[in-house]
Amino acid sequence: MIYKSEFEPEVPKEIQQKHKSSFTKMNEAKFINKVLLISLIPWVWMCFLSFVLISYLDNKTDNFEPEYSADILDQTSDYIGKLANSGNVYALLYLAEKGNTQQRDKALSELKNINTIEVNYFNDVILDRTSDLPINDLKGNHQYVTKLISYAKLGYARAIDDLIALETDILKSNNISSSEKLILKKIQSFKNDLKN
Amino acid sequence: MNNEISQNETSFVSEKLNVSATESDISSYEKNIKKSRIKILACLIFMVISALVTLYFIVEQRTTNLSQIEKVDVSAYVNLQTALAMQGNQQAMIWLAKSGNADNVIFDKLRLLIETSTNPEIIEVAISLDDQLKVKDETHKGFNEAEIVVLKQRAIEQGSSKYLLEKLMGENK
Repeated sequence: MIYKSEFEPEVPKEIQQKHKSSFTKMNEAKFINKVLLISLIPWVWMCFLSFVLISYLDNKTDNFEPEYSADILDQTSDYIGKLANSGNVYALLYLAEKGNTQQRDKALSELKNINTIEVNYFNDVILDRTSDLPINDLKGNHQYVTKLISYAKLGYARAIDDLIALETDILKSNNISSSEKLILKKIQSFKNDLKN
Repeated sequence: MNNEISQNETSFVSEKLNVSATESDISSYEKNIKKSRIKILACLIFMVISALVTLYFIVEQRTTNLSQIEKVDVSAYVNLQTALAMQGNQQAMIWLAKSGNADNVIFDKLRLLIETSTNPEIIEVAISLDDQLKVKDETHKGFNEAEIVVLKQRAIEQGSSKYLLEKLMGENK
């Protein structure tokens, strides 16, 4: 708004000046007020989006796994496949978990005849967990936790990690079911046995 | 009041203002300035509060995630694995090294195991533990660069997909 005012000759210059400056200040204040009011909704949205984004990034950082190109994964499968053909157990385990259908089937049939703690754990626990067939919810599966405990007793690293993951998973949920409570009790009693 | 002002504003061009009209204008302008300042302050307070609330929720969520992990008491597993590792259990050594509960004694045991074991995970955790100990303890004498290269190659030959992927990534860069 442009300031256009004319005064009677008796109005002192000081008051004229004050009139002009008050008018300008009022317009400035109104303008700032409008800008702030207009930016309020985007501001609240920005706050909300930043929360969502940070939660997403936190989650992604926690579960970070490097992504490899298909070419690199193929080369890895080929190399590991050669090792598996020479009977390397760790190569067979890799293919059974991450190989293509053909490699997986072949590795699974060969692993049936090998008796090491890694292979037994794979056949007993991981194969059930990654099966395409629907299985019971792991958090409430007593058979699953019993198997984990039996391997954990032997010190098998992956079994202990899986036990910790299971316990964390149950504690994370807001509504712990009675079956999950029993699982927690079972894990706790195993830990108490270890301490005594 | 706004109507009064707009009437005054539109009458600026045509009418000349006398002293009392000018003073009444000034007082109404100042009232408006006061009102606008209060509104500006309210907006700014609201913005600061919404930013603080967002920050509170972010911190709260992170703390909840951490406390859920901390809720799980792993001391029993550390005791079990330490006892088993002292008896030479490979898996116990691997777990202690991976979970950050291993020291120089476990490192020395892993170093010896590398010579006899065919498990590539032993080399993987030994190199990773070596890195941790080098940061924690300046006197720690671990692997040198040449040894690490040889060990990684050996792990690949034993079936370590981790180092194989690392090597292929390096070659394809």
